[in-house]
Amino acid sequence: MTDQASATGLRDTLLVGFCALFLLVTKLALRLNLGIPGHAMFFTIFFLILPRAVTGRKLAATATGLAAGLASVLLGMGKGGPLLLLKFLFPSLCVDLAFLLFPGMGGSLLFCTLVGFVAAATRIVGVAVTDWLVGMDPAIIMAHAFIKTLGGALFGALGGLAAAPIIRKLKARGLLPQGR
Amino acid sequence: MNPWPEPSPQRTGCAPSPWVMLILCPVLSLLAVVWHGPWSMPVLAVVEGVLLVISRPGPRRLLRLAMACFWQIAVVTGLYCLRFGPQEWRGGLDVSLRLILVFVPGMLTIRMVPPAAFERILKRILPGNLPFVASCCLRFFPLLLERARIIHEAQVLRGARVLPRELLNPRNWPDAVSCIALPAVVQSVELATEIANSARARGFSMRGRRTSWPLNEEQRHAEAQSAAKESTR
Repeated sequence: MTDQASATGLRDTLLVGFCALFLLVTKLALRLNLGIPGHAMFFTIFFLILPRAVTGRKLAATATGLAAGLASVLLGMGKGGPLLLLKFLFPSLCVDLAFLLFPGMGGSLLFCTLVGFVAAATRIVGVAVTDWLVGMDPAIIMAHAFIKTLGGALFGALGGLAAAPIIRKLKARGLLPQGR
Repeated sequence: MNPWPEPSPQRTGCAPSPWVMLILCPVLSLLAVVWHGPWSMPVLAVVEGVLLVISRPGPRRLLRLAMACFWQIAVVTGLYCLRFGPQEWRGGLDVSLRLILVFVPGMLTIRMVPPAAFERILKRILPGNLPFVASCCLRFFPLLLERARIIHEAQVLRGARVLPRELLNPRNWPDAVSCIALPAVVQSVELATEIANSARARGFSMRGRRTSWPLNEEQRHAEAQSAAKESTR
């Protein structure tokens, strides 16, 4: 690895770290019980899409999600303990997969909104597993998980919608890696 | 208002060891979230207050913290009153005080654990050069928050509709994205590039063999001797 490549790698890792910290701080700040389910998903999706688009690394969103998830588990945020990691892991994997399958689409409003919606909706797995582990009736699990996830998915779509113009403007100013 | 402190370069006075702080602070944050008994808030407030006094914050930092707490309480309690009616102000106050008790330990960790000691501890837990990255992120995050605050102030002065009360209106959200989020992202990219270039200039890299130096004098001596031997070969 050349010095330049190493510096770029370090820069990208630092950016991922910054995004994970922003994600954590917004998550902490949004720990308000306002009766709006899933409002924290807005910033989660926003800070998962951004590092993936800005660094162009294949697993940048997953790394951000893992870092933020591990810190959340250590800080005991949210319900579900270690299962909280799943709630970060699935959306971040979904973002990475979407950018891998459709490279160069980061600036599209529709693409980012859809990715945000689907990625936030994958939290249904984490919610369902938690419900199943606490012994909820299987007939109720899906309905409960669906209701809990729907609000989050809508906020996730909004998060994607907010990330798209930023990616587009960064791309227009040549601040994004070419072809990513 | 950014209450996050600049990390002190060395341990302050009779501060607990970095190890104790790194275990105690997450535990205190965790307790502020999960412990909801009648004694939870007074006990946690006393413990965190003692740690705050030990950290010797100085009047300026105390004032910044007090202002941040005041805004936190005002915003959260206001939101509760708006959402559930004025009779729910106690619930909002409780949540806002708890949030302060969650934030303060992290702030104290950054204030009381020197970056070098933090990195040495992380090196025992994390693989490769990730400790360097993690400690760099934590070290420079306050700077990033400060830059975001300056951007916000500048945009307010030039007439952008991004004041908290203006952001309650969804029509002003696009302003927040283009006037705050975009410059903040550009600043993050710039800061990360600066750090990476500075690190490269000093021989630190993602694949380098070492990113922190031992404090132990014997280890330092042994390292110097081996380096001298290598250079004479």
